Amino acid sequence: MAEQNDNSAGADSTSMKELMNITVKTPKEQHVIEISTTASVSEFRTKVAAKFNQAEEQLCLIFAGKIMKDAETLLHHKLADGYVVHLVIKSSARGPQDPSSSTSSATPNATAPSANTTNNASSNQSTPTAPNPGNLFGAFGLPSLGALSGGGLGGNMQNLHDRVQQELMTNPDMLRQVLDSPIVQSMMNSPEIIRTMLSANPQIQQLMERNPELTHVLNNPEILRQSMELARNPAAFQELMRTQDRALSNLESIPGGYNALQRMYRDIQEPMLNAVQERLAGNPFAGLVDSTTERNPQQGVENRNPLPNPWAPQSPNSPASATGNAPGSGSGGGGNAATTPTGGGGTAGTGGGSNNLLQFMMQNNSGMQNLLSTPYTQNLLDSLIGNPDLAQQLMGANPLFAGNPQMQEHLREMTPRLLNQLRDPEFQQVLSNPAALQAIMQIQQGIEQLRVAAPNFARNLGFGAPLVPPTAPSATTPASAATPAATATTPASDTQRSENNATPATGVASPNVTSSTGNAATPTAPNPFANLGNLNRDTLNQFMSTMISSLAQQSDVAGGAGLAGLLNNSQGPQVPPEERYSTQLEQLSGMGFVNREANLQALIATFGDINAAVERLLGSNQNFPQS
Amino acid sequence: MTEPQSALLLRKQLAELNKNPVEGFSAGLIDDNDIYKWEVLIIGPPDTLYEGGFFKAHLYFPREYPLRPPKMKFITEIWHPNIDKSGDVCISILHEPGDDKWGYEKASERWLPVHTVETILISVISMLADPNDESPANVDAAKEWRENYSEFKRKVARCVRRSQEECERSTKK
Repeated sequence: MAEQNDNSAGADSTSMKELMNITVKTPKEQHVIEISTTASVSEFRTKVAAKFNQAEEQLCLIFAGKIMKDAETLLHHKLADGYVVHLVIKSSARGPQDPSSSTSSATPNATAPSANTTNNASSNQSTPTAPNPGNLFGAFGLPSLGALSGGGLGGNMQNLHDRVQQELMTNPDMLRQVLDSPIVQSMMNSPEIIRTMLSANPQIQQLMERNPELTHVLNNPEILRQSMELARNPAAFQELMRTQDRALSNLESIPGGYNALQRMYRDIQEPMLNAVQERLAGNPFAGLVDSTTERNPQQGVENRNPLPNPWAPQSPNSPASATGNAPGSGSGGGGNAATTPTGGGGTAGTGGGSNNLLQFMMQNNSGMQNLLSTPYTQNLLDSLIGNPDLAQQLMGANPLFAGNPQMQEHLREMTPRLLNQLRDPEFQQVLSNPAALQAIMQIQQGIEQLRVAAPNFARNLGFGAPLVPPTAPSATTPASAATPAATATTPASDTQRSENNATPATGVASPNVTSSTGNAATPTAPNPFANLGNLNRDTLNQFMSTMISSLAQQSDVAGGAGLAGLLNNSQGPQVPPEERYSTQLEQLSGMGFVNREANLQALIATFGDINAAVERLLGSNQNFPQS
Repeated sequence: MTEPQSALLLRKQLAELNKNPVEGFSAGLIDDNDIYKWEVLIIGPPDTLYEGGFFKAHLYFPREYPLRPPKMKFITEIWHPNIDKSGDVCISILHEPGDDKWGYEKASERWLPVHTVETILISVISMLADPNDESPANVDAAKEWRENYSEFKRKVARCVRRSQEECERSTKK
């Protein structure tokens, strides 16, 4: 400051006119110079040189886009009070005295480190007659500093990038750190950037070309964000893997689940047609075909004969009825059963429990959809519609309807309709919608219960009497009217299930007893139907057939008809519910629902759907955990 | 005489830059009577190949500024992938607003009325440090930058030296 005053004193001597303050700044420092408004650039330069402790020749003053020349005046540059002038300081040691670039860069230069490079450049420049490329590199690339200074920014970028990538690959912790850094975080929040980055990667580009689905995934910002999140958070990643494993093992622990998995891969994922052609030997239904027929040796040869009907009462069919049966297994829902894990047995009773089937359908939405959308299924339906006789035959072959000509009559009337409905996308949607399936299930149970609770009433409505012509409008309306009743008396659905369990075909009677006693134990709902297990199965079947007919009359609920047809063949679940729902039970108790019996009932009523079970438990207050 | 908005805006920017200049460049008018023609001196950014150079460039503002972008042209010879051989700067923010007819740039990357001399020059300086070889204006330079970097460095070094000589001359005069 004192020096500045000195300077201003000097300026006064130069000219007595008014003074102005000019700020002179380099990238590193800045000083205010007080100078006369009429001073020349050379005077100004002298002052600046003194201020910055530099030789005059090394100063390059820049103002308003121009380099200030000594001959000019400040006035010429229109410098005014408060303006700022740029100063670039060239190297102090320049010209021939500077022996080499290395010494010049070694020369301690306190003012500006960047000046070193300038120095090198000018030292080279001082010998322009022999421009040595090596020296020039020395001047600008400074190989020793390559990675950090000029050279590193351009061409070494690629190398740098590769190095960084390698480093990241070998060091997951570092990767995580990088991913945790705020910059990367903000980038992740912008899916656009990530997408650009990904699509700029040639490897990913190739992948995307090969797999359009992947492109889809990459275009979904949510998925991108999630996967980035996973990469960043090892715990989440582990959790994901664990749940995946868990889900698979859960599936496996369900009886037949392992089969289902296998089958999912084999039968659903591969085209159905292939499965039929190539895996006849492994087909559980293969045994149903009379082994004496000439068809069996066809193994490995394209088989144009449809699958046999597992429910066919007698296996040695005439060829005509055999073909008739086969499409039925595909259309009447039997096709579903074929992919149902529980349906694997292949004996007359292997239709699989209706509950299991429903469950399976609910759990395997995609499987259902796959099944319904396979061309094979569509073909089957088409051919059935084109040939109603065939359809009727196969229906007639069903043991349920076999002894019931009137029933068959009804079926004959209904079949084309039913088939049409099966092709209806809406219906197919119903089949693949767990909620809808559940609703249908409930309707069925409700009606059943109604019939049990008030046989006379139900008979009047048309349920109890299987032979009532379903065409009568009175029969259709009650069917829907019965629905609320079903939902209203939900606890009884357990009863129905236990009844199912107790049907002669299944050997697992004891667990069912426990379940029904459990019902009875519930204080609010003493179960009057606990002994329903010995209900005549024929009666049940008859009822179910009637219900199908009734339902089929209604176009809206018609979807249920085909399904009910399926359910009709139901056997009880072959595993006690405690086992079946063991994981859900654990979850429920984990959630604080302490009444295990109530939990079990809720799960049974909701077919293992834990969410629905929770709602149910919350709805019935007595089950709410006391706390 | 009332000045159009563009002139007022430019004058304001000029006054601001004279009082509070931005690191790395200095801006003024070519002709004091024409506010639409600017002269800038870009000081070669440190730690780049262009360090030590003084690069003079002109900015030509349209009357519609700030609705339309200025043109920028280097007067000093400069070897850079995004500056063509006549010195015209090819940088996305100086492109006419709206969508790119080739779909290369987004509207947001192109000229926006919020840009000032300062933001333009900062972009240009960063471009010097980090060329964008995807849309080269000087294809030869871009090719060299990619494939023959040592040759590229040598050419840039020559430009820097010449710009220094120019500066030297003017100082000594």
